[in-house]
Amino acid sequence: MAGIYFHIPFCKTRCSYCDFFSSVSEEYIPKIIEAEIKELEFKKEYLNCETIETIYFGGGTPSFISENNIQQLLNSVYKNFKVCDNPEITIEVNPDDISSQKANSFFSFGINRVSMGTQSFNDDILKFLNRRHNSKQALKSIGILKQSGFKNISIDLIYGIPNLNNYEWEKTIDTALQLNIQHISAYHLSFEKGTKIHQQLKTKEIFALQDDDSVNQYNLLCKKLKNNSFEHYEISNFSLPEFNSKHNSSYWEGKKYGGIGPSSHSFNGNSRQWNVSDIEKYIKGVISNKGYFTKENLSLNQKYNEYILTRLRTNKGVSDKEILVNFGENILNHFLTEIKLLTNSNKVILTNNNNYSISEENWFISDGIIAQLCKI
Amino acid sequence: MENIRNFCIIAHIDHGKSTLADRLLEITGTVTGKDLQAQVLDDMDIERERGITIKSHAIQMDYKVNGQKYVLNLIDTPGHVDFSYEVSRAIASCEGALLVVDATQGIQAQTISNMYQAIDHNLTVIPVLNKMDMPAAMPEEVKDQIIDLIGCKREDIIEVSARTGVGIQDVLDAIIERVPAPKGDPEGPLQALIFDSVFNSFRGIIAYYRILNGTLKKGEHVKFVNTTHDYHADEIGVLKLKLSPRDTVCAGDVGYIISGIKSAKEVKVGDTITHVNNPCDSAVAGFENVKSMVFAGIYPVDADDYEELRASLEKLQLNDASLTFIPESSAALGFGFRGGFLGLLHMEIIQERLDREFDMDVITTVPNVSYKVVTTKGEKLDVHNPSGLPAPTLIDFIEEPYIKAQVITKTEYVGAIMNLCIDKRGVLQSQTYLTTDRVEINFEMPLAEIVFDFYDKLKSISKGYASFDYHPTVYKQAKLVKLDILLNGEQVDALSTLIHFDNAYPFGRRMCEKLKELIPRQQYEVAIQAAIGSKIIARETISAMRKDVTAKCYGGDISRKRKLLEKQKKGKKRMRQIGTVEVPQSAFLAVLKLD
Repeated sequence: MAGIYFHIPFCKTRCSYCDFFSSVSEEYIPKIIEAEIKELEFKKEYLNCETIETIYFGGGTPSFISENNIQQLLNSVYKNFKVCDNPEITIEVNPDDISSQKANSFFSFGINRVSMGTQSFNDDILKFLNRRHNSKQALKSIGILKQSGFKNISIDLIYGIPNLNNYEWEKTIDTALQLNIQHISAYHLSFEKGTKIHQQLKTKEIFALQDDDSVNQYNLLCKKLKNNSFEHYEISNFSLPEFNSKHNSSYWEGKKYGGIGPSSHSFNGNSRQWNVSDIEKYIKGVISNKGYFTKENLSLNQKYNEYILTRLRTNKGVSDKEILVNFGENILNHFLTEIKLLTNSNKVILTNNNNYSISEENWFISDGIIAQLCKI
Repeated sequence: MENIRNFCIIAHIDHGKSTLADRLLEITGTVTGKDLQAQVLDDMDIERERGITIKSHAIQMDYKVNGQKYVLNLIDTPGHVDFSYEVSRAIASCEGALLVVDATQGIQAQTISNMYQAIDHNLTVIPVLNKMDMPAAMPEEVKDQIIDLIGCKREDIIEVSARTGVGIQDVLDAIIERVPAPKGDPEGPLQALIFDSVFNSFRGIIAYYRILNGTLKKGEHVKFVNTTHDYHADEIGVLKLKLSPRDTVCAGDVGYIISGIKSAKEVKVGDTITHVNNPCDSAVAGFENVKSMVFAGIYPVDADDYEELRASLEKLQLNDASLTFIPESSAALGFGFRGGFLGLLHMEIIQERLDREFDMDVITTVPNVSYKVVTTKGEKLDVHNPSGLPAPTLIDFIEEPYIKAQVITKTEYVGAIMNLCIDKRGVLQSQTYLTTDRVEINFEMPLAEIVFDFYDKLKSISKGYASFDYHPTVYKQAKLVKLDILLNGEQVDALSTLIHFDNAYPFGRRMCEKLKELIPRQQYEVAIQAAIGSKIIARETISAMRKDVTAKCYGGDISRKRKLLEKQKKGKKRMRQIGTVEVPQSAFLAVLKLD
């Protein structure tokens, strides 16, 4: 079983916090679609012709290009791969791109999950983030999607934003909860290099939130969503029962995936590879089938480190049985030695029948815990 | 013998000793263009970079004047208090000394103490005023200082600029005219003073000596009087830019001997070489076994490197006999060694050489002096490590080493320096005005007090216008306590210090504050405590880390994230685990960084 990810590297405007690879040059759209279809054929071998369970259109802004282009890409998956009976097919959309016609088209293609880049329901915050939409548009678009038949809708929210106080954050969470949606991804703002907000932080135009305030916003989020039956299944992901993102979960469960398009990553269990983050180089490379990606074969230690780092971010956690089976006794001994230090003293690791996970309140300090468990 | 001149150069750091030596070598044609590099005699990288001389060196120059051929032996000496014994042996090998004083700075403490040694050994002193080309030169004032110090005539002082070469010829002429030729009996029993040795990986130890009496011939059977070892003189010769073998070296001359010696420990500076068959009546006076003054733990950063560290220290010891080390272990740092050093600079140099020459990453712990402990049962113990101290109830009293410290400074800084020395438990012994605005102050103070941050403080309160020299004197009883540091209740042996009771409270508080800065936040709260016995005297708390998380980790983030965490893990591996607390290496030297 495997997943396919299509990267649609186009946006109308750039958001102030975003460091994903994207371009505003629309003239490349047809060539990119053509190249991505071609790349998909090459990925058959890499993915060992596995059956496809999930398909994901991300970006960039997939809703920015025409529905036809999306359909072409989707068709090419069916043409090249065996697809399972009820695949999860997700598309990321921007609220201001959604019309009834577009939503109906997406639904008619078999797309059954929409992830909307809402980020906030506060217009000042949206402006700060340089989003194109306002909160009213977001609410309206959710309505349109529901009308078109979508029963699995997710929205993205961002917290930990300079000047976002707890009161405004709570209002955003409350608004989200009133929408009767099935999934919420909520991210603490990161100041990534090369973004506008990173620059603003450097020049002291803006200031990062104090850690204590960040923690308060995180705790508020956890509490509110829990009270509304959402399961906190990954550090930044919450869903109603049965509505976990299957595609994203496959990243954390070590399943294979083929990433199509510039800057996309692929994984087949033994190696990771990533495409060049440059539209022209990507197109040229795919046409000649060379030099458009970098590949890294994973050592046993590296595979173990990835297992630890992805799985401890989820509520599933890790188990010593899986470690023994997949990585051997040597690595298991390393794991048990390190885990002892963590469980003995500071109780940041929850233990349950040889299964280990990081508790919800400690997820906010999970990087150091995971690093401790890594093997080098 | 009448045409031999043996001389050394006495100068403070940076007063231009090595540059002057370079000029002398050039003008006598000892060094030609292609061999010319700045500070010819300082052949260790560290010496060149720091602009200091660590080892003694010697070089022979040929010089012709008025149809007469002269042999000039220059013995270059180390320029730091840590190496004052080596300096004294070099001085004992000469008849003359160039006293080099920076015309822009005047006489410094180091110069004076070495100067007294030269005068004690009846050396002819040739005063040289260097850096005369500098606009800041104040020749008349500095000349006054020199006249005050050695009682010479004003016209005896030679003005030079080693940088531009002006006056160098006058210096050479003065060496020929003023320095007496060596005396000694070439026919008498061999008596040669060893003033230094170097290690060569192909030839073993090369010892440098000055022959006082007798003649040494190649192949002869010789013995070293103090170590009592005997050897065959496989190769002897004189020291040109490179070793220059000879069949004989006679009384009055300076030379080298290679005799298959493998370790520097066998060759002690100050020892006497004589013949096995016709030995001299007595060894050259003044021999001392070099004693370590400062001790510190040396631990490998990676515990697996313990054996490699031992091998590296053994190799260093081959050419530095003043380094001592014995194995020790610490609960906090694992297995390592207790190193003994001549002083703080020596310790720094060893640490740096371990890094450069052996690529060894080490943690050095807080340095301490050697204490004499008398137990209630009357036993006398030498303690080189605070954690080796017997329990307080078993201690009758503790003695610590004292030094005679000499500071020379400008009058305007006297007050501040007095305060500093008194703070450091110093007792003023004398105060002498060298000129109207230069003062020499003598203190008696505990050596332990200059081991921590004394130099830096002295430098900063005097804006750099204070020079410092010291000599160990006696051991004295003192009210010392062992101050322990606890992290989350766990004692960190490597952070224990022996300290005077009166200073323990403020010191403990500052240690806790500094450690709070140096130990990163952890996933839980960390209590830092200072304690004397079971009594807690200071506490700081590092609050738990609150946010350490990556928001997104999807398909394209995993590789980058993994590499970041692996890097973080590497950093953690370099830290030391004390109970539950991860402690960076810098924390083990916290005491040296107290404000």
